[in-house]
Amino acid sequence: MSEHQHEATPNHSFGARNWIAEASDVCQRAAQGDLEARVLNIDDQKHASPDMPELLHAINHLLDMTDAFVREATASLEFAGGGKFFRRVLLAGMRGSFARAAGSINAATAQMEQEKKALDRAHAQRLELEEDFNKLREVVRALADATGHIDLMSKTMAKLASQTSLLSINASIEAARVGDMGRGFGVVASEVKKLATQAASASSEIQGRVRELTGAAKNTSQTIEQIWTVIRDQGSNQSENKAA
Amino acid sequence: MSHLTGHERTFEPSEIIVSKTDTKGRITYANQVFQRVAGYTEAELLGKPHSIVRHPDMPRCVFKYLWDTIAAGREVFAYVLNRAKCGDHYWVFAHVTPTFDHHNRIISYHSSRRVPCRKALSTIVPIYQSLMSVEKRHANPQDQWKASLPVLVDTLTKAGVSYDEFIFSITDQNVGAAA
Repeated sequence: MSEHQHEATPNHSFGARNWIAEASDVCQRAAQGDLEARVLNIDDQKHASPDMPELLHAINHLLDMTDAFVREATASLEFAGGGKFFRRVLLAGMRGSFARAAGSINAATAQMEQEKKALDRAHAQRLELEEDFNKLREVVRALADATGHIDLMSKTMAKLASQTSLLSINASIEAARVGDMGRGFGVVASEVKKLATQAASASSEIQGRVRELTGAAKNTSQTIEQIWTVIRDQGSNQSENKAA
Repeated sequence: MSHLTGHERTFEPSEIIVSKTDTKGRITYANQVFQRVAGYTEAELLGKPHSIVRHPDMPRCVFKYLWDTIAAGREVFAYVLNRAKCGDHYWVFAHVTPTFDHHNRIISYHSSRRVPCRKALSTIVPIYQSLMSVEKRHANPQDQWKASLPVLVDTLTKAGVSYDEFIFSITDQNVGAAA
């Protein structure tokens, strides 16, 4: 930047500088986005027209305001893009359209900050949900285990009933062999046989119910695992959003 | 030579003191507000180090932090007490940013200085005073900032904020805003 300015700087003889050409050049550079351009050494030089210094200062002033706005807006948006929302555009010295644009950027930053907070809350809630849901998965797993145990126990019960039944038949045979003396014992053996039959029918009913329970537990488990996958996917999406 | 009058100067909230320096800190541009408030002509300022407006009551560690930050390519804000040519003083809220070329290399620095709000100064002045009391124990400028910079860092660490967050927390962002 300075090379250009040095070319044009002092050469104290009257009229040595072509102010209009310099002013045009500064304006052209600014229009190309070079906001470093300024007209230098205005006051210590002679001017053909008394209005000229005023015009040159006005050009510098316009550039100063534009430069300040661009630097402020850039900084604020860079910070916001990095997830830091405290860096607002300073409104001091900003007038008219500059002030309105600065206000819009600040409002957008404030909005982004709110959305970021809402996202953070949602993230925290999701983590809680994930934790609770994981507990639920354990409960369902424990329920399925317990059902399996009941099934085993009812099978043992059925086996015992069948053995008891066999035993009562043997007892009835032995009782019959002893004749009258064994009649009382035969009655007991026949009652035991009835109880064994009832026990067998009860255990068969339990096994039926257990089969239903096992089916229901399997369905519940599958549904829970499907929901779990959705929760986990949401979790990784949210983490990506947070990182972005 | 650097006499002080104890008289404070100020400028309008709608005004911005603007200056540009090369990467060595030599002034390459100073706007009319700068010239008026600091009391120097443009010719007196161009090519001079920016420390021409340095006030003896400013802690060196603040400038050390400021220069390190902009040299690293980041913007920096600072409340700065400056000294005008006549020995008057004036407070500014300075925003200093590096200017980059197409290759992202720093080619110059730009400073916009605004009128600070008094409330921010009431927080800043005691901090600067404590930093100055540390610096006064040393004669050499480098020893001065080396002693006071950890104090500044420690103050911020205890407050649990970054330097930027601290500055923005004491700054009323609407100061000077057009109604």
